[in-house]
Order: sequence, then structure tokens, then C-alpha cells
Amino acid sequence: MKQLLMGDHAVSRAVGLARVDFIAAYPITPQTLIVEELSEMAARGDIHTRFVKVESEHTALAACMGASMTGVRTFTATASQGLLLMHEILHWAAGARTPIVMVNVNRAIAPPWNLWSEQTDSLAQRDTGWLQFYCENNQDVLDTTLQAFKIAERTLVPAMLVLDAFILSHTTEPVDVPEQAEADAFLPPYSPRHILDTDAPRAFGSITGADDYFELKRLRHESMRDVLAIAAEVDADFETRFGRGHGLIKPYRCEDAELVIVTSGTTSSTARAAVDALREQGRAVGMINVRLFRPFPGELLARAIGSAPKVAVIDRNLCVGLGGIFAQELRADLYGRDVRPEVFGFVTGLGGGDITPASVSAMAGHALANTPPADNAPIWWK
Amino acid sequence: MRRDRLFELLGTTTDTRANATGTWRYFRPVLADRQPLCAAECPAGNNIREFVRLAAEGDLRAALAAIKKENPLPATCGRVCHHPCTGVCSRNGVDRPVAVNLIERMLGDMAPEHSACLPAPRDTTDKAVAVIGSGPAGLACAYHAALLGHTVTIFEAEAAPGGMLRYGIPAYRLPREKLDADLHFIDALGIELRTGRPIRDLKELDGYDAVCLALGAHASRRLDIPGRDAPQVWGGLSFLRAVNTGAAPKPGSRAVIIGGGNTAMDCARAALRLGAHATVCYRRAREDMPALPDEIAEAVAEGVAFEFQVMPSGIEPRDRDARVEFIRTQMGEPGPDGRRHPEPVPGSKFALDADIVITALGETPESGWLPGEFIAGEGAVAADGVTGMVNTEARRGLFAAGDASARDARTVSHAIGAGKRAALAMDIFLNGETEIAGDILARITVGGGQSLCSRMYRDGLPRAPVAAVAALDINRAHVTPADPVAIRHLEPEERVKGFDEVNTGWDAEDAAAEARRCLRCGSCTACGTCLLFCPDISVIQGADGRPDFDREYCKGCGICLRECPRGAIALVEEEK
Repeated sequence: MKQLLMGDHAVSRAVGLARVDFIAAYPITPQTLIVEELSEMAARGDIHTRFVKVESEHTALAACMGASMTGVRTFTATASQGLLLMHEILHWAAGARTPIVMVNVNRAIAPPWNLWSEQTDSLAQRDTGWLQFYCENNQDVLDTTLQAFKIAERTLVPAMLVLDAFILSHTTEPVDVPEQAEADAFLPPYSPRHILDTDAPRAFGSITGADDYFELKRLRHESMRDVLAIAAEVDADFETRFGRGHGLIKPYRCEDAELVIVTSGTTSSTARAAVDALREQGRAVGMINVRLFRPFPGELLARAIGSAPKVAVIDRNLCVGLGGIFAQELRADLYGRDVRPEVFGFVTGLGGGDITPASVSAMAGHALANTPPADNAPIWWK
Repeated sequence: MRRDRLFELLGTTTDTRANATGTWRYFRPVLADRQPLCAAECPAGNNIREFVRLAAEGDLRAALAAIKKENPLPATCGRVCHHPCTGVCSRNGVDRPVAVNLIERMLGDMAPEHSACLPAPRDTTDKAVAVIGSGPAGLACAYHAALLGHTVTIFEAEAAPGGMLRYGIPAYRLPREKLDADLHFIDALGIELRTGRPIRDLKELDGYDAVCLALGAHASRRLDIPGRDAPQVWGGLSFLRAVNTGAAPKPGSRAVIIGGGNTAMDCARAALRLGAHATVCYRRAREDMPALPDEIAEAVAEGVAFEFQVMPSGIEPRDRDARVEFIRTQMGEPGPDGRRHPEPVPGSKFALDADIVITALGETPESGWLPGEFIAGEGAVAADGVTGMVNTEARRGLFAAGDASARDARTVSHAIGAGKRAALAMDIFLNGETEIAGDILARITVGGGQSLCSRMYRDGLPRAPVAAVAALDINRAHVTPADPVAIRHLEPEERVKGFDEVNTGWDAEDAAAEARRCLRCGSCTACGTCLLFCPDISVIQGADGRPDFDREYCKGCGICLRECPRGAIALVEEEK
């Protein structure tokens, strides 16, 4: 049934539909609406979820991890500073193979204080072993949240879902909300075999020597690579049931493109409009929305880019001293392939700066008219 | 995915007890029996936690006996003490502090034969002690000196013992029969009481081995304005003495009371009860009043009127009444005592008509008969702050206690504490050990304050001064609010109809219920909080229910100490 929902509430509806058993959370702008609504749903008994208020995000994720290890479905949400505070536990949860789903609302990191949209917070966690989805609109948010539980529980890789601060979190869009029975049919209960059990006591993650540690790390890597196939499978299954899929990437008008713009999150909607405008002007420009970031869907991207001679990556994030992170990941991935476009790495929209169709068109125009700067330097765009 | 292999690697059934983390420790937790904050604050040195615990358990005679080891006057203190214990009670901020004074009062009222709960005196010595004055300081000194086995004689100028307890404090605060009940110990301990026997020359006491000057302070300060000798003018203590001996003057319909201390409050409230409208006139502001907050509140509730920042400048006696001229004051710079100095505001004169004018401007000791070298400023006897000894070559074994020597903190409980201190110091002197008196008294002092434990003096000196918990040691997060027992008073309209006791007190059941709210700070009650919070499962329940610390695994993190609600755990450095 179609409802008008803010991005944050699309999350809480999905979490309710997913029959999450346990939530431990700490509020932070702009995710607070997620856990606030979930707490109200739990208090009213609309959902049978144990909701625990904790004193920090570090504890929130640690509590979820502990709960998950007893075999229950868990969820939490955070943003920016809160995600950073959780960092140690992000590694722990992934290493302990707990399929927690967490929503991170992309918000700029202090100092200086800035509440608005920027992707550096989640991207700075890309080494922690969590899979990462970047959602483009509120339907994507709701659907990906449901899908994330299924993917995480099959691979035992925790899932991070990302929304743009305010542009999605606090913006209302029409969203098709599945019925509970449909959601149940899509997402069966979580019933793992290996759990903390006082009847069969064991510990997880105790001190381990180099050989076993090496093997465990390799198993994690393999599971993360499995996500590529499993996420595609789950999305296809979702499309069959609900009539809509989102793809791991979504190319648009890339056939015979001179330039392919690579974007993520809400910037993709903006880029699509810019592509249409440029095509009207006779420029051969296409774009690709990158929905799954980790594991990086390099093969799919290479195929979608095809023989386009130029790629412009728009990064609303920064690795200081390096440049935009999507650009870096793409360059690294393409290096071993036969696809050899010139890659332009645009860094823009930091601290919530507006990215408009006009600015995307202008960036595209710049890429078409120039060669990339020497030594992969970022192109700063305001 | 090789999930079974995964969990084979990730999980383990190895017993973590193989890792004996106790070797990591720099500090280890121990149970520490420390005195609570209330006991450290009590000027009389009451063993508060102990008597409250016994009252909570219903063992009332043992509770009273615990009081009597320290304080001879529980029925009195339970009524007139300003209860500083409640100010530091750990239940402040949780619900209401435990009303220790009302529990003490119930116990003091309980036994008709108070002698049954008296401590057994030490063997009789061959020493004779004289105490001048039978106010609270003299009574406490005589009491403890008698318990230490000495032969004691009290010389009291008035016709009956009690000092300010009988002649100052009115019956609505301390009924005479309750005071008399507290004084049964005099006979029970074989103390000789000689009433109507003022001492005006120390030579009269040359036959005694030690003497305590517990003279009190009964010389009222006088106004220094025209008309101060008018017939309508009464000194505050004289007025109260008359009221308390059944010779109250008729105050007419308008009483003006000059002053802001406890004497002024009692004068105003007594005047009310005698049918007058009472106005207290104080030269400073309300917040500067030296009277105890309870006394001020009760005066206000009873309808006493107040004029602040006014000073009398003259009294004009007329046929029947008097006209008192006042000038308003403004608060100037602080004087040498740190209190703001009131300065007259020019052109602000006004007058009040009064049938009686009572001056309560403070009192000084009547010490003029003592040799000058024994006296410090304003008539106070010069006594050592620790031993109460009047240091002089002229006479050995001379001590002072109470208002006679105290420059501030002139309360009943301070006087009792001072009398106890003088008695113990006397005993040390009589044993020829005065050089170490300071050290001995320090070792029976609780928490570095004024509270002395006579029980420790008798039962065995501790090696170091008695430690008290600090406020930070208490963890109120684990204290559940509990309904306090209501404190009952006569209705305000009822109170002023006569001199019946205003606070109607508690019975044993009420007192026990209140006593059960006591946290027992500083002592372990086997509540189990430390067991719950130890992250190493290294606090285990010992045989007596109290915690044992597993030295093999305890890392000395100190979480047990932080979580302990009552500060009963301390960390001790490990010897390396």
C-alpha cells in the first residue's frame, strides 16, 4: 500500500516488517526519527521487539552484537559521530559473523560541526567488513532494508544501509509498503545453528593463533565476495514478488556514451536529470548509480562503462590526501581489467553542499572538454 | 560456505579459567568497615549506625544501650538537637534523610528505668572529679567521668539540674518530665549533685583531682541605647527563666523581641503562648539569622511576625507600655567576623509600641570570678581545642566545656560532645598521660571531625583515627526511594494555646520503619551489588553472606568499590 513516508520512517517500517527481535539504540540527528518511531511501535506493542536505550553508540552496537549471538534478529541506526564511536564494534560484529543490519544516515563529520549530507562517515568504515548499500530514494530505502536482513543472514556478513542526511532522511516521498504477510513470505525467521547457548556453552572469538586467524579472515573475504551473487539473487527474488528491483548498479543511457557519470545516493537522481538535459543538447552522456559499494561491483561497472572513453565519478566524500573514495575504488578495480577510460574524480557537496542538475552538467562539460589532472588529483567542484 | 568450519575456528570450548588474571592486579579490594557520614558529623559522638540498626531490628534496649555508651541525654537530644546528621545522610537526594533525631527520641523516652540501659562503669578509681554546672556540658562530663570509675560531684548554682535545658528551652520543645527522665543517671551512677551551690572561688575545689568548668553562658548582652532599663524591658534569658519556672510575666498584647538567635525565637514563641502578638526585630536580613532553621520555621508557622534590618535606637517608657524607636539598616561591608555589618539609614526612624520588650542579643559566660589568666576574649574560658584543658601553670587538672569556652557552635549537642571530650581528657590526665592526650583523642575521632567515640576509649583504642566514608563513596543509583515516616506536629493553631510539646514524636513501630531506611553507610550489608557488577566473576558470596574476593582472578579494577551503595569496599595496594 502506497504511503507518504520520510526516509527515516521508511526504515522503521521496514524494520517492523522484518520482525526484528532486538534493538539497542542511541539517538543522533538525523537518524533519531528511525529509532524514535521504532521505540513507539515497540511500546505500543505494534512490534514485538525488545528495545533497549543505551548510553552510547558503542554500547548500542555491542548490545546488538551480543543479542545477535544468541540467535535473534537485531537492528540499530546511527550517523556520523555515532558511527565513528561504534568503529571498534563494527570490526567485532563483522568478525563475529553477526548478521546485524544497521542504517547509517550519511552526515558530515566534525569538526567543524555540520549536520548535512556527506558520505565520508560510512566510507571511512569500508575496511571493517560490513557490506554497504547506498540508497537513492525512499522506496530504495525500504526495499533495501528488507533485502539486507536476508543477504546478511545468508552470508553472515553484517549490512550497513546508507541514506543521505535530510535529503532522504527527512524528505517525504510516496513509498509502496508491503503487507506483513508478503514480507514474511520474502524474509523467513532467522534461525542460526551456532549461537551462544548456556546448555552447550562455548565462547566465540577467543585468543587465536596466526594460522587459524588467517583462515578466518579468508573465510570472511570469501563470504563478502559471495555477497555479489547473493545480493543480486535476493534483488531478483524481490522483483519477482514485489514488482520492483533496484540492481547492484543501475546504468542509464550508457550505450554509446562518450562520458559515463558514476554517482551514488540521491546524487544519482540528480545525475539522471542532467544526463537527459545533456542528451537533449546532443551530448553522448550516460550515468550509473552505484547501489552496492562493498563488495565493490567492479565487474558490473566495467561492463556498464564498456568502451566509454571517459568516466566522471562524483564523490560527496573525501579521503584526505587521496581524493574521492568511489573514484579511488573504481580506478583500483579497473586497473586489472581491459576497460581503460580516463577517470575524472570530482569532489563536491561536502558538508551538505547542493549538487544540482546544473552542477552535474557543468562537471560533465568539464570532463568532456579536458583531460584528467595529473596523478589522479581530485577536481574540487563547488 | 563452509559454515561448520567457520564456527569450528571461531568458537572454542576451552575453559577461560586457565588464565589466572589475578596476577595482573596492582590493587585488591577489601571490605572496609568505616563510620558513616552522620556519625562523623554528630557533635555528641553518637554511634548512629549501630543504634539505628538495632532499632530497625526491633532490639530497642540494645539500641538505647548503644546510645548510652556515648550520650546520656537521648530524650533531650531527640528533641532539641539541630540534627546535622540528617544534613549529610546519604538518603538526601533519594527521598528524605533518615530522621535519626526522632528515632533517638523514641528510644530515650522508652525505658522508664533508664539505668537498665546504662553502660557498666569501670572499676572505681581513687580520683575525685568536680564539675561546675549541670547544663548539657556538665552533665555529659559528669556522666563519662563516672563511667570511667571516678567519684564525681556536680556543683549547680540553681535549685535544679539542667542549665539551659531547664531554664532556657521552653517546655513546648523539651517537656520537663522528659528532661528529668534523662537525668536519672545521676542517681544511678552515684554522682553527687549539689544544687543551690554556686562556686565563686576555685580554692573551694582544691580537694578534687580534676575540675571541669561547665559554666555555660548566662550573662545576657544589654542594649546600649537610652531607655534600656525601662521596666518593660526584659533580658531574654531572664524572661525564659521566668517562663520555665512558672513565674512568667504577663506580656500584654504586644511583645517586641530584639535579636535573631534561638533565644529570640524561644522568647517570641513563649510570648505568643502567653497571649501576646510577637514581633521579632533583627538588625540584619533573614538569611543572616543565627537561629536554627527549624526554630525559625516553627516561629513563622506559629504566627511570629518579623521585621528585618531594623535596629532599636531608644526606648521610651510610658504609663503602661513603651515606645521603641527603631532605625532601618542597610547591609555594609563584612566585619572582622565575616558577617555583613548593619549600618543605620539616615532619616529612616519609625516606632513600635510594646507592652514588653525582650532583648536576646547573645550571652557571655559569667566568668568574672575566675583569675584573668584563665579567660580569653568576651569572658570565654581559654581552653585547648583538643583536650579542653585550661592550660596554665597556676592550676593543673582544670578543664572547660560547653558555652563557657566555645566561641561558636553553641548548641546542646556540641556541649555534650565537649563535656565528653573533657571527661576523657581528664581521665588521660589522671592517668598521668597528658602528653599523649592529643594522640589518644585523635585515634577515637571519627572522620577528622569533632565526633569522639567513648566506646573505643574504653573497649580498645584503634591504631589510627577512625575513618569515615566520603560522600563520593556512596552510590545512590542502587538506592530505591522508600516512603519516609511522616513527622507529626500539633496543628499550628493548637500549638500556641499552651506549652504542650509541638513535635508529637513516634512510637516504636514508626521509629523502626524509619530506621529500616538507613543505608548503613560504611558497612557491608551483604546486598550483593558487588557480586552482580564484577566483570570477572571474582566476587563470590562468602559463608556469612558478605562478599569474598577471588584473588586468583580479581584484576583489581575497582568496579565493586564504585558500585557499592554504601562505601564498604576499599582498594589496598598490593605489596610487590
